[in-house]
Order: sequence, then C-alpha cells, then structure tokens
Amino acid sequence: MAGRIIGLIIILLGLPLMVSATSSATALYNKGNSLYAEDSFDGAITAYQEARATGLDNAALEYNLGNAYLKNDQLAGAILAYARAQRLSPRDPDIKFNLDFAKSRIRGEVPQVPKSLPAKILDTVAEQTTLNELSLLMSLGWFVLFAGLFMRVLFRSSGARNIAATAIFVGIMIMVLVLPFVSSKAKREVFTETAVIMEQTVDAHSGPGENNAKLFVLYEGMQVIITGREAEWSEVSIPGGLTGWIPRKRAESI
Amino acid sequence: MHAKAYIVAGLLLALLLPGALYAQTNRFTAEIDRTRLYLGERAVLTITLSGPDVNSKSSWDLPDFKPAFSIVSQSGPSRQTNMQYANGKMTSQTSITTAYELQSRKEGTFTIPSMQIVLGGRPIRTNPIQMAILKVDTDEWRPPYLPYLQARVDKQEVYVGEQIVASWYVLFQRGLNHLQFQSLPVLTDFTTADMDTARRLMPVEREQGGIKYREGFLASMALFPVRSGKAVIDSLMISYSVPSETKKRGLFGDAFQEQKIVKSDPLTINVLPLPAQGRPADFTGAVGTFEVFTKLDSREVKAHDSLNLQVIVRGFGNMDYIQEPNLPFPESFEIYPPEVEEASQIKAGRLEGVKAFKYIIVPREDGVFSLPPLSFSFFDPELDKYRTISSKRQMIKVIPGRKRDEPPIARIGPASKEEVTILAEDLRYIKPDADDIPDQSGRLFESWAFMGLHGLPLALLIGAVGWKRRLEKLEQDVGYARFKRAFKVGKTHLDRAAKKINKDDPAAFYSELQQGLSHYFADRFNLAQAGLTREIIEKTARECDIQEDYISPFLECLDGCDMARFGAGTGDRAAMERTLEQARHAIQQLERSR
Repeated sequence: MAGRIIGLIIILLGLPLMVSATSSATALYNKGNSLYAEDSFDGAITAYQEARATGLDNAALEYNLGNAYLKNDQLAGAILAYARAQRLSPRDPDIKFNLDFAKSRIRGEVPQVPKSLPAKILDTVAEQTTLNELSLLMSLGWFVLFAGLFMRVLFRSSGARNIAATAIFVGIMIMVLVLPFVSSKAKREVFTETAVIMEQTVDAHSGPGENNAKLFVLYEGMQVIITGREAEWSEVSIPGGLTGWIPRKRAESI
Repeated sequence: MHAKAYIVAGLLLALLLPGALYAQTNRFTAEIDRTRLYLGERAVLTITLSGPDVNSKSSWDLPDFKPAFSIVSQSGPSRQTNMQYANGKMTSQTSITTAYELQSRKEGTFTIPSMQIVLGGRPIRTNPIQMAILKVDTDEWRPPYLPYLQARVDKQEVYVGEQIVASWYVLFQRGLNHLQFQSLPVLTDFTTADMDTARRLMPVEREQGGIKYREGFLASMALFPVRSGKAVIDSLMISYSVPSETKKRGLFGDAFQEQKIVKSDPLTINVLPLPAQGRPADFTGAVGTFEVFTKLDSREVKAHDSLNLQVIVRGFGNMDYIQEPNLPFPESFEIYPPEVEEASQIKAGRLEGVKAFKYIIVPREDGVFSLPPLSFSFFDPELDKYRTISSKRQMIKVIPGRKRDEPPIARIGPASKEEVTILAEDLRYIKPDADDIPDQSGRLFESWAFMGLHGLPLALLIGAVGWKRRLEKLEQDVGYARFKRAFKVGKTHLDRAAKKINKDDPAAFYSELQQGLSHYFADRFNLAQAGLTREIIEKTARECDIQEDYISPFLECLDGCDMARFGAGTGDRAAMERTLEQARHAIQQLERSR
C-alpha cells in the first residue's frame, strides 16, 4: 500500500519525465510470458527485448527476461537483466533469489572484500531501497524543517515554539541521517557504472590494446566497475583492487 | 776501514742491479693451457709481450697452425702499462697479451714454433711448444667440444599429435658461471607443454669416448607435432661466463669475466601422418593412450534436486583435443554447461594430462534411468591403430521430489569452486501477465517540478519573516503605527461628523470635525493630540517642509471649525456640508505630501 502511494507521488511529481507504458509494450510482455510458458525461450527473449526497446523500464519485465535468458543458457544476459530488475524493485524476494542462483553459476571466484561495519550498513540500506524512496525521505526532512522554522517565526506562544523547535530538530536529523544513504546510493547507481561480462572468458590486459600483457581473466556473469574508456577498450576494476582493460563490447552496463 | 764500506756498497749494488736490470728487460712468452688433447678438443694459447720497449707498433707474425689446429677465437690484444719508481727514477713498462682458442683438427704431434720479435734493438723469441693430439679409438659418441649443449628426444619418429619429450643438457668440464637462457628454440612445427626447468645446475659426472665431463639437466618439454613430414626442433642458446684469458685482474683484484655463448644443434623429427582408414566418426584428433571414467556423486536422487557428474579423461597426449563429451542424457534431465578442470603431471619421464568435465544435472521426472556409456575415440601410437574406449553404463534412480510450490531448502549461497555445488531449488517462476506495466525508472531529482517544490517552503519562510518584521515594527514603532493609520482615523471621524449633520446639532458636528482634523494631524506627525494648537501645526508643517498648498486648506478648515464652535456658527446645513467637503479635501491634500 505504501508503495502504491509513493508510486502515485512519483508519477505526479515526475510527470515531465514519465514515459507511459504504451499498450504495445504490455502486449509484448504478455506475449513473452506465454512463449516462456511454452518453453520457447528464444521467442520470449525477443518479445521481452522488444518491450524494452520502447524505452520501458519495469522490474517484472526485466525479471522475466532474466529467467528466459537463464533457461536459454545465457548466463550474462540473465545476470544483467536481474541486476536491472533489482535496481527497480530492490525488495522483491524472487528477484534476489534468481539473481543469487544465476551468480552461483559464474565460473570464476569473485574476490570478497571484507567491509567495515559502516560500509555494510550503507550497503544493506542501499540494496533495500530505491533512489527515489531515499529522495522522498530527504524531502520529508526538508519540509518538516521549514514547517518548524515557519512556526518559529510566526508564533509567540511557548507551546508553539516548542513544537517549532521539535520540528526543526526532527527535520535536520532526518536529513542528516538520510544523506549518507542517498549519497551512497547515488554513487552506486548514478555515478558509478557497473557492467556485466558478456562472454565466457575475457582477458584483462594492462593497457588498451591486445599487445599489452594479460593480467587476469574474467568470466561470464561477473560484475565489474568501469573506470575509464579509450577507443574500443574499457578500463574495469573488480573488488580487491584489480584493474585491467577489456574490449568494450565484451561487457554491458547495467 | 773505507775499503770495507766500498765492498759492502759494491755487494749491495750487485744484489740490486739484477733487479733493476730485470725490470728493464723485455720479455716475449707463449703459453698453452694443455699440451695433450683428444681430436676435437680445444686449447688456449696465450702470448704475452712485456717490457719497457714495447709500444703500440710492436707486433709479431703468428705461425701457421694448420693442419693440426684452427683458430676458433681470439681475445685481445689487451694492453697494460705499469709505472715503477726504482732508484729515484721513474720507469714505465707496457705489456700486451693476446689469447687464441685453438681447435684440434688432426691427430699427431705438432710443435707450435717459436715466434720472434725485435725489441730495443735485440731480437727475442718465445719457446716452441710441443703438442700431442690423440685420436680416440672407440666409436662412442663424444661431445665434439666443451662446453656443449645437447638436445635429446625420446623418439625420432612419431605420428602427428603424438607426444615427444625433448630435453636439453649442458656438458662441460670447468665451471660455468652465470648460466642463462639466451634464446628459446623455435618450435613452430609443434604444440608445446613445458615439463621441467632446472632451477640449479646439478651436474652428474660422465665419461664417454675417453673424455671426462659433467652433465647438467637444463629443461624438458613435451612436444606434439602439428603436421606430418619433417618437424624441426630448433637451437636453444645459452650464455655463461668464464674468467677472461687476457685481462687477469680487475680494479679490485677480482678476475674479469668474459661472456660466451653456446647453441644446441637443431634436431629433425620424422612425423608420420595418421592413417585415414579405420578412423572412427567421433575422432577429434587425440593421439596417445587414454582412459575415461565417469563419477556420480550419488545413485539415488530426488526429482528437482541436483546431481553432480564428473567425466574424467586421463592420458599421455595433447589434452587440447579432448572436447566436451556428447552426453546422451534422458530427455527429462536438465543439464547445465560443465565446468572444465585441467591438470598435468610428469609420469615416467612423460607428460600425463587429466581433464575433468563437471556437470550439474537436475532430473525432472521420477523413475529409473540409465546413463549410457560415454565413448571416446583416439589414435594409439603404441598399437598403431585407432581405439574407442567407453565408460561404464550408470543407473540412476530418481525418487519423487518436492513439488514446485513447496518452500525450498534454504541452502542458497555462493558456491565454492572446489567442492560440489548444492542447489536446493530451481529458478523461481516468471511474474504473471499484467494489464499494464508502468515505467518505473525516472529519477525524482531529475524532475524540475519535484526540485522546484522544495523552493516553496523557502519562499514562504522569507515571506513570513518579512511579514513578522512588519508586524513588530508596527508594534514597536508607535509613531510608525500612527502614521499608517492616520488617514483611516481621519476618515472615520469625518464619516461620523457626516452623520451628525442630519441630527441638526451643529455643535456636535463641528466638534467631531475638528476632532477628526486634529486627530488626523496628531497621528500623522506623531504629536500629542491634546495640546495641538494652530501654532504647533504651523511649526510642524514648516519643519516637515510641507508646501503652502497642502497645509493652508487644512488650517482654513480648522479655523472654520473653531469659529463655528465658539462663535458665529450657523446651523446652516449647506454650510456644514461645505465644511465637511473642505475637510476631506484638506486631508487628501496632506496625504499627497507624503
């Protein structure tokens, strides 16, 4: 229910940006579903991708696409789709389950970097919320703060002043507490480009070119962070600090 | 007495003189490091020329060493100059050293003749050197020279793709310092796999063909010829250093090292093509001897649970030709692409490889199934024919498992890569059909409407602050408050006066009118209404720079009221209305002067 309300507010406030789901995209989605049920996964993939091509970003669509890819033995496509679905709907347990399932099939070990407790908290919250939800929370703090200031300016009575002081305090506290999560989430989704390796094995070189030494190997489905670009090559890094260059088309961004 | 001194002096001089003379003598020497050689062996001849008369133009004729020897290499001539103080005089001495490496070519005795040079006006000669070159009487293979780099193969003739082991050994007599690989052999006719490389030289004593030497293992490789015909294992080149023959001492007294290079001879291998007849249909190019096994982690499994199958191929052959086996599984088995693991080890001097394909299988229906045997074809060079081997048939019993809507066993997690992967459930099913799938992207902070909304409370706050200030100013600044309301106050009085016209009470009317005028003026200029006299009004008007036009109607009106109240005042209605109008006009005029 809360989700619906938030969704409604988002729709109202984000009006200039909204691309309404055309009926053809919905039809393609449903068509993909029926193809999937018949086990024709290739056809389902095509239908879902056509729906996506209309510019639509929808969690259920991406999730179903991920399932179709996985059934069709395309691990990287599946992980890419599930990751996109998770960004749109972070608390959906089915998406999480299937993404974990797909990740367990990655051939190589992804280095696990031990994280400090604050980093873990930031990550947990970031994974459970969308950027819009956090933005709304910030806005709430903002409005409460100004409501308090407003009251403080206009009213003289001690009762009103107390309420005003509380409101100001609460407003500031909300914003201060939410700010790290908003910036962490923004950093993850907006300022950092994450990509998925699309081919079975990809060699990472020390520089943008085949003649550079091979440093390490990346496997299909692994998620990397893109830290630079040059000509046809991308510089990528994985947790643990390893950085190398791979041909750009071998990894696709989430 | 004196005579004794002379004798002593004479003796001393006699003793010293030879030394002095000696330092002044020119010397020409030829030395060889060995005088007895076997045919093919090498020796080093060092020729030294030294003395005070030696200069850069000093040279001699080299004798003809043929047919016994040929000159392999020459180092030097290197020059050294010594300065000496003897008996108060400074003398210098130069020495030139040249070294020749000679290779023996013919057996027999041979004398290196003496060489002559003229120095300081006198000829000096080297001593002749007698050499003996012996022939070896056995047919045994001997290293043609030392140090020698030898390449060995375990087979001279193989089939395409069959494993050959090539090893390199270095044969030497004296020490080898700073041994390094200079260039690796070109092996384009083969696929290669490194087997062993020596980290330290651990020589073994050997004697062959009458020569004692030491043999050290360098490296070995497994080679698989790529095509039929002649395949060449090209030279390996190594470098080592030996003490220099010509420069004996360095700056700190240590010997100079000279770097030398030695190459192995190229080897040619005869490669036979694989026979065309008898070739099985599923042959993919593997040559060698192989075995294949299948391993199941369990014979009994529940439907929808996973099972691990390993297909292991082991053998002496090029493992790259072993491809993913064709698994004819029953239809109801879901199979995921395998994980491939490779390893190799050296067994009995040859490279043995192991390749394991690890499959995860999920049976969907219950029943008893058999995994048919897996066949694998290769060419066995030991038997000179193609062989097909297969694994054993395996039976799997699938018992009814959980239905899909039962909760899964919570054992999901990142799978470890060494152990077997355990998954409790398959994928969760897709999301159902919908009437409408909305776009869920679109970031709030990218929308102008959203961000603009945040400006609203700020604007409201500024407005509130402004309004509050105004309120306070009104409260605190009385004069300001009065100033603001002066017109209203005046108007209220005049309206009341207007009503009093009707009541036919001229005194009340004029009183009210006057009240209105003075109240207005008092408020307007923040004066006390009570003692407001005409003089004060005039004074204030002057002080505030109010023009005549604006203030005189006001004063006139006021005078008129005065007169009417305290003297000749008629109850004339028209007169009253006129006065009222005058009053309104007067106030308006004053208002204009703000």
